[in-house]
Amino acid sequence: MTAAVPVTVRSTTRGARAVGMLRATGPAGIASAIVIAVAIFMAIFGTWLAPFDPITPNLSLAWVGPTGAHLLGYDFEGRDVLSRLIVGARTSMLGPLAVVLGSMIAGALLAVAAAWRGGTLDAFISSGLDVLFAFPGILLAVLAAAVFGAGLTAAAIALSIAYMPYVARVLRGAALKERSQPYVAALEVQGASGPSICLRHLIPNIMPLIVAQATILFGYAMVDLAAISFLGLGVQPPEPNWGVMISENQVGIPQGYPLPALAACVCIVAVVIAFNVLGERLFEQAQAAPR
Amino acid sequence: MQTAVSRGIPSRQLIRRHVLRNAAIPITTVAGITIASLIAVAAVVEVAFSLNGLGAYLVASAQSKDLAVVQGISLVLVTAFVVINLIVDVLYAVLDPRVALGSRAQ
Repeated sequence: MTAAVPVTVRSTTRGARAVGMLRATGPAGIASAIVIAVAIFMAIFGTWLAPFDPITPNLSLAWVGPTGAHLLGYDFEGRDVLSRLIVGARTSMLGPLAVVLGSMIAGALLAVAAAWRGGTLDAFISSGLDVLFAFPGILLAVLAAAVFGAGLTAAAIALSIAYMPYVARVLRGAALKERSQPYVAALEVQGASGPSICLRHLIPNIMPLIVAQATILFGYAMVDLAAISFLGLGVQPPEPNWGVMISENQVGIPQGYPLPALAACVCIVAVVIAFNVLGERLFEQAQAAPR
Repeated sequence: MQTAVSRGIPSRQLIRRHVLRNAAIPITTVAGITIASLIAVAAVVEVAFSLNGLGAYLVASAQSKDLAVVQGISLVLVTAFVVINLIVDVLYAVLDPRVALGSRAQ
């Protein structure tokens, strides 16, 4: 035990590393990051940005097409589609964010605990997650809506539980690999406690993987939450939300007014593709980069 | 693989019997999970195209808090998932003789 083991190497600041990680994802990654940034901006400042009232209906304007001031026209109740898209970004982004945070925190803790303790606990957690694995998120969310009432909270909690095994499986593998690294043994020799090594050294070291996983998961969560809102079990109308907008305006598609529904579809697809592309790139980096 | 090639097995048989057989195992896993999620997502399709299927019924009863119906339908769906997983597990043994079923494992 003579060789000094570098525990955590931080050559640059956190912000500079994040920029470097992003730059290494290439043009597609940067384009995705821009799309995501716009969506986040809309989610935060949407209520002040929206040019028109997104909620009050005006039936005399129902299905009116695009005009100069209303770039995307009006929806089935005569509300400005663009305003609804901008304001709806908040609920559309907040739900997946809650799902990602919930499933990542729970999944990471379970995965690290399983990898750290091994043995019975590992077997217990792994088999429990295998059971959850076979259960689709949408079904769990529908059941949660039936029991706790329709709403974003119930759906988000259900999806967090449904996504947890995907997170935990990947992170458990990574944590197992990290567990056998020499720095962990060095810390143990120094007398650091298990939880402290896990929280202060092991989790920061698998952080790139966690970030990449969270990014990919965000896309999946967005699709599933949009589907749930579409079914009428998530965000409740007249609250603007991209999934709600599709279900409200889908009657317009066969009637020859596809724009309101399609505009919401395009928003969801664009953001999900952006998150998937960025997530895949970050994932490749996290797997390739020696830490 | 190399052994099989050196034994002079025709390439068609080689691919079908040796490559496909080994490649089929992860495919089965993914197929099982995909089918399970497709059953659930069918609810969305049924609502979108107003087909009166099990999924649309589940969503409607979830909205009206008709718990007995929700319970019944989810029981049916979960049974379907269990059966699919069972088929996947049995297929493992068919595809890969090293995976033994049941008591033969000991």
